[in-house]
Amino acid sequence: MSYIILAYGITALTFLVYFSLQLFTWQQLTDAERVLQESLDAAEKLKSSSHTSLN
Amino acid sequence: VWCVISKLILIVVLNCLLLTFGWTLGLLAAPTDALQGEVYRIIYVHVPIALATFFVTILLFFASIRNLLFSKIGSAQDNWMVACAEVALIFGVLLLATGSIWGKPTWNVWWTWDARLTTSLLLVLMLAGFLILHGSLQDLNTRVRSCSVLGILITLNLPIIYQSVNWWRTLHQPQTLLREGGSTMDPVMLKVLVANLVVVILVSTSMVVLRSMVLQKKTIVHALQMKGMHR
Repeated sequence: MSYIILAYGITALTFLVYFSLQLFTWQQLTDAERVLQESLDAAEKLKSSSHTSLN
Repeated sequence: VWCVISKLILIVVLNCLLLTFGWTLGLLAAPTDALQGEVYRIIYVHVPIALATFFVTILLFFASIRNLLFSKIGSAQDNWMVACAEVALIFGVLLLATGSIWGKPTWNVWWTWDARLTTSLLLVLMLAGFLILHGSLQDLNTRVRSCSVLGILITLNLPIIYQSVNWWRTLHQPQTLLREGGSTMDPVMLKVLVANLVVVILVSTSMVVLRSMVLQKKTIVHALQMKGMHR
């Protein structure tokens, strides 16, 4: 019985860890993408407004 | 964004439910084996994992072929190929682990240099080598070309693993399902095994898709970082 628990347990744990890690990484990368996009947009806006004021 | 996340969570929950369904059948619905007793129930994780290892490695083969023949220089993408290699490696390690756990009560050894076990170990080492090579090459085009060639070479090991129990005198049992004269398994055991095979194919496909989506997102974030740095 202990061998069955070991085999099923290791497999279940692997799937659980794998899916949790992928979801966590996806969330982190989505946040990073949003922050980077916002800062790039802000930099672009700043650049265009400084050009306008110089003109 | 939340829509995508909730869809991903839904996929993960569905996979967990599918696995629970398959394993419940394996642990409770399938009858006890006359020779091995209860321990034979490891078949419902071990054999499906073996099939998933083969299946995802074949996906790696097609991804490698596609990259080698159809990807344009400068716009090559290796996310799908890497996702396949990573998932195949996970299944390969699980295959060795569950096989070893089953081997102890039935053969009285955790490991033996049997043809099937050795060729399976070789597959795992080759997949690990693929990921090491991928991580060590900086230039995208060189990386995609080299890894595609290795991806194709890795797949050549699959027929050797499959035929190993026929080609060499071996401790590992011959094929359970695809054998001459049809399977000798009990019909209920066979149905439960087929159900678990279907479940694990769906789960492994989800794992590859999920991983390739994460790698794609990583590429986008990296491109945004580069764009910010060059301003």
